[in-house]
Amino acid sequence: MDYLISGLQVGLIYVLLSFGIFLIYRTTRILNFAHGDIATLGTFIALTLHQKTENLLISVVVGAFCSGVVSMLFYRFIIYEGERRGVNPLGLTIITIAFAYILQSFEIVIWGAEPKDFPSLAYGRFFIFPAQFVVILLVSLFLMLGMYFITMKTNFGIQIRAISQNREASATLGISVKKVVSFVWFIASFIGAIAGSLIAPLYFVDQFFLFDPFVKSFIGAVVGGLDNPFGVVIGSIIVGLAENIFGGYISIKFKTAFVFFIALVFLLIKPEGLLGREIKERV
Amino acid sequence: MIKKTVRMKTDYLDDYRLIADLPALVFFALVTVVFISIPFLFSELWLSVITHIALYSIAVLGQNLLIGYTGLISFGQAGFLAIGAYTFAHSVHILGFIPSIFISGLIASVFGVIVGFPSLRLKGPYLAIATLGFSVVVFQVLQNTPAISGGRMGLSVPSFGSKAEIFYLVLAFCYLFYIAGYKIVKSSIGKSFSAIRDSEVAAETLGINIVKMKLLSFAISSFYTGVAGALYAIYMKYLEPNMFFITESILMFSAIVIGGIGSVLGSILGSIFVIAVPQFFVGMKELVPIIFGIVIVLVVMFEPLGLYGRWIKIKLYFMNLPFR
Amino acid sequence: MPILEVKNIETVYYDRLYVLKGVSLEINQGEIRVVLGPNGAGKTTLAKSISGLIKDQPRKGDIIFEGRSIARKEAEKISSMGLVLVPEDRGVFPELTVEENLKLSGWTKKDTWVFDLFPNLYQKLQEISNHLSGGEQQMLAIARAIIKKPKLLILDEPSLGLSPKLTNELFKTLKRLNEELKTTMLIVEQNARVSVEICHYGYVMENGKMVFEGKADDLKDNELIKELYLGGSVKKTEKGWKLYKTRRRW
Repeated sequence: MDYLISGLQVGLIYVLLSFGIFLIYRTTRILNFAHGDIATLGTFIALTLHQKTENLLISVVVGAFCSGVVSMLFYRFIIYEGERRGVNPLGLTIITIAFAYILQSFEIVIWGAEPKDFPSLAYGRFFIFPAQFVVILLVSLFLMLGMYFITMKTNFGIQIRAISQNREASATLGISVKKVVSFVWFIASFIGAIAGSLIAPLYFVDQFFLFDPFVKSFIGAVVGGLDNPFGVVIGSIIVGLAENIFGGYISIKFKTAFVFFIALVFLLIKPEGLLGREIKERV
Repeated sequence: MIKKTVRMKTDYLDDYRLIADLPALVFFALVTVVFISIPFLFSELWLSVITHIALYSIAVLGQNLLIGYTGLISFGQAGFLAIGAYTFAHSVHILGFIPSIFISGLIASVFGVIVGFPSLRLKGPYLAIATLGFSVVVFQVLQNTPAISGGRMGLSVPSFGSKAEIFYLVLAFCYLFYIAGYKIVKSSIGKSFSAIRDSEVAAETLGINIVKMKLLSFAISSFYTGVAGALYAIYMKYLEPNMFFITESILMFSAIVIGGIGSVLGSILGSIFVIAVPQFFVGMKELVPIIFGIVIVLVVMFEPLGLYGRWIKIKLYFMNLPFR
Repeated sequence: MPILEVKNIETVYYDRLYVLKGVSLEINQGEIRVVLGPNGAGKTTLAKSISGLIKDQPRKGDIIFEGRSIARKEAEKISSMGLVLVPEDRGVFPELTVEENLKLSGWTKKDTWVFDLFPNLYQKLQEISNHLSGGEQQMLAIARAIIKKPKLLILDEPSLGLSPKLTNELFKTLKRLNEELKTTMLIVEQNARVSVEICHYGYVMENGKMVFEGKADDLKDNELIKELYLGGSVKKTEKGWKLYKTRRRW
């Protein structure tokens, strides 16, 4: 039961992280390797602000906002320029890797390399559940429903989906690709940094602490299918549960390997992800 | 009047030939002489950096055959490198140096074929995840089984010889594998690889056996990487699992893209970049990754085709020098 | 004064592949003009260069739209100025419903006039646009562009992949658009037969250059057009071959 809760809790965090990966992948065809590091930056900012102001909620939101802005600027001034110059998606992926290096070192320079404690938003228990779990559940449900509403019901959401399907045609309709995609990067990292702040109390915070969750949520996104937001959610939760239940009952040493094994089994059964559409190749 | 700068190739074998004409032979010979004299020209430190580059470039070339030519995005590099290195470290006591280098390559390529099976169904990021998983599995197995990895102390590898000797060994393998790589790329196998990359269905209609070719691509690339792993073991003289973390895969992937996707020469350029550039800034400690990152961003932004693209542009400029 | 003036533009791919070698054209308010040409003449490149879809191109020359230069501007700005392109592949967003596709260009429930022109779309408003037939997708793409009330509509190969019957219907609709809404149109086409019927003025392009221009009637009895009826005629010139060679080396 405990493993179930911790699995679900981690799974929800993976959902938040993988949703950012998914958004960015869909709109720019880039696997953003800096996603975890941008979120880490937000977590660090939240930590510093908390030490200054003692108000955790505001610090987390401000930290998330900061990392959203960093991400947006990164898109606008580096990735967008790269796209304009004709760099292919693989090259842009390399740029995100390089940006991850830069951020990691920057975080060491500013905050030092030693792990730090991050305060929890809520302590104690809520009925039988740990309070932190309840917080994570509520926040992620809120964010997911919000994202669902934005992408499916608003004009802005239609624009995002249009760009992810055909960028050139969107431009001919007068949709500003630059603005919309910048905002998508903002949202992705905003959610990512909130996820970082939520998971931080469970780990120690250092510049690599989101690397492992990042990889796992990447797996989750892929298992669920990078085409479908619901697939991303389900895939990430499966990954979180599988990891914790295996880690709890069988062997904690091989839990990452097990996650990959599960992912491979799922992918071999359904190569386009659980809810993804079949990949059609045009000849 | 257009200056006749390009020697026309008249048949397929012409394209396949490594040393096409006299200038190429002279160039080739000069390069060889320079390489052989490297131990006399550079300090110990730079000699070891160059050795590292040379062995790294073998692995990069192998992965470039897979990623660049066959178009299968793989993050299994760290795993193959580790398998090669550890196979070597264990077999060298029984078989001796040169045979066990090849054995390492063979074992790695067996694993390569196994990892290659998912590639028959998976594409793009999906395959990337599956192969990344392979690297992680290898890493965790190494970390948790002291029998293979030698426990906390790491695994020491018998010494091959002086730094110069190691360099010559690596250089010989480098030559062997680069010539082989060039031939593979130019042969019908290499053309099939590129055909699969560009359109799988179209390649199939041309009678290319996709299953065979994809597995072959995995086998060749992991053979290269396994051999590079063995040479890495010789070069480092000891092994520990942390040397084969998945960030190693990501770094090698960067080397391929920075050098130029789908080019033999680009593999060398990319390895030089990835290994040597951090060496220049080694005095700045924490700032190394920052500078390295910025340099990568700049290179990718200004050379979308990779360093190889710049090389071609320079070459063309000199070929057409009096004109344009 | 013409609404659009294209002055001697040159578009170059990969720094060395000259696709447009000094193309000029102009359109007056309320006209339909057509650009004809065989495969590889540079028609699509021309349409894309005008609407800003090719980054940093045209390299030389100028494009004046309503007295303002739009050369090398971003596509979305050009589109907001009222020059809308219907791209070659139609640019319908396959996963969005027809309604969402229309909404993207600012359609609201009140704009029912669109369905007078395209009655098919009204019944399929909630359908995923990927499930539409080729003709309906083309209609959707044009409807979407018309909703923006463009001052100039550029259509890139509207007949591509349509049966002759559908092509005829499509061109009738275009003619209606021109007459009822006074939409100015530039149609880039291979199908000379139907496009000559509805246009006021036409250009013929070959190898990145305008080789002929004239009124609709002049076009009809021109030898070159007759030749185009029967299929493309790409002359293998010495220069073109060399360009091809240099391109291959990359």
